[in-house]
Amino acid sequence: MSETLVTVENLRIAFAGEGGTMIEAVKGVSFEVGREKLGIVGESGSGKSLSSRALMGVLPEHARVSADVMSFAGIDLLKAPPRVRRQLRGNRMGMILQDPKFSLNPVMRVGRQIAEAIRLGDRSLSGAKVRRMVLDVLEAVHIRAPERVYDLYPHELSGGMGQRVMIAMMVVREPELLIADEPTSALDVTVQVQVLEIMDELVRRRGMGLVFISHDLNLVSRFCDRVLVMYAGRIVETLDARRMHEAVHPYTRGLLACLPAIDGPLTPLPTLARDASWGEARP
Amino acid sequence: MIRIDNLSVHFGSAVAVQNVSLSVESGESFGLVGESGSGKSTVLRTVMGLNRHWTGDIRIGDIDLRKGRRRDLVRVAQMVFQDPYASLHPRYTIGQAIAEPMLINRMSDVDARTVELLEMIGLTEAHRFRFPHELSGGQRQRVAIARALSLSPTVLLLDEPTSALDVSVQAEILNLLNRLRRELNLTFVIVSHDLAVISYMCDRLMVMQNARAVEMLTRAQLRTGDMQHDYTRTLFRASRRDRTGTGASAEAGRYG
Repeated sequence: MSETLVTVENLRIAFAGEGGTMIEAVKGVSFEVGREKLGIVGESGSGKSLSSRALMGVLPEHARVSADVMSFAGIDLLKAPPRVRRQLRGNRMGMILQDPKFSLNPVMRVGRQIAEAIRLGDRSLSGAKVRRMVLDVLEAVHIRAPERVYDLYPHELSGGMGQRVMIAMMVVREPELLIADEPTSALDVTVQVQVLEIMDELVRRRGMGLVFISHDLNLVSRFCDRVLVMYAGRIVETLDARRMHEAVHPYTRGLLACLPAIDGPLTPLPTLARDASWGEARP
Repeated sequence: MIRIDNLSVHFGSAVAVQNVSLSVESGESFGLVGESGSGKSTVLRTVMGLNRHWTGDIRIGDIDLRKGRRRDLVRVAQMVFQDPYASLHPRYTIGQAIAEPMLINRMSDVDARTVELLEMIGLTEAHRFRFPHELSGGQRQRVAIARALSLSPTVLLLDEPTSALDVSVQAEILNLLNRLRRELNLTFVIVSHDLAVISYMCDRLMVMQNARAVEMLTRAQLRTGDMQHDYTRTLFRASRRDRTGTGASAEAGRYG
């Protein structure tokens, strides 16, 4: 990690519960992201997606967000007016969501959707230049016939192709930070490998910072440099991805143990025995 | 228990399944593997009688799917779907959802049987009066399994039963399914894109690609990587890298 892109300290996100109470979904999370691949792992409801959405500034309005520090490339995100946040989104921070079927406009050809993303960043570009950029970025995400794919509608793409189009749309503006929320969970394993390789290549070549959110600990540990493990709104452990087997928190160890392996034992899988103390703040 | 000969399924001009044959013994657990669109779920749905346009022969137990009555079929085979959020009626209580198949089939002692089923899948009688939105994803999938078992079928057709669940919950559901298969002497056909899950759950498996069966493997062959077809090998390598971190970027056997 050569240079810190993102600093988050004591991030809290709460929603209004019944009877005027506030329910805290993220309970004081602190982390930094450099020009690296940072994985965030945790089960549904652990707060991993909410934390990254707070960073992007795309939480619903009724969410209460507070933090001691939340900055991106020296910009204080807590004080930044909406206009500044809008300029950052798409331009310097990009986000890829899980399912391309729900994230692409179904009635717009994919080439035009990518062109729109470029145009929003720089309105002075000529049509021919924008088209060239779209075809180049489609090629960069290993789409074989970019000319043909340019004119397709999202429903004509396979899942893997759709996700590559999403990635193309996000990286065409060359953001410094890319947040990928379960980008490969909807894909077949063989396609998953390809998509990960493309993202890896882009991170290395363009020096992006990547926040990779997933519930699959082994996938994350293989792909990322560092891994944050979240449980019940808190970070319970931060690990060097290459030293996953040294994890000490029982939740992390439980997650590692409960996955079946192709050549693993056929005895009943160990399950997580949750401990109430995991959800409490650490001293 | 299940015998499929030369099954082909067409949707309009598209071929979803072409000349697939397989047989599953009683008490066996059989896996269907392949990528999206390879036809694995279509095979399962056709066996359950959810597709009408098919050719070939399908026999389940002593029922010929083309001649047999649906009422007899549902007593022998039941299906569990991928997404427990979508497969349970949101405005039926858990008890109603489990009891419904039994009421339709005019069975007696429905109440007692509902409680028995709830306990069998690891919930309690108190869950009867809850609604699906009050349960976690794993609990909902347990309810879907209980509902499938309500008519005491001998065959369970499982379509990606754990892929919508967290990995920690997946382990619980897989353990539950294995226990039920042992205790009730069930026959399983499991569709999954996850070779590790198939290897853990199934005695034999069939690999599908582009509507065709490309390879039939035993669990031992899968575990040792003894496979002939290129596509199966690609799938095997991708899954191993995925699950155990033995890919190009990681040193082999990192997690044993």
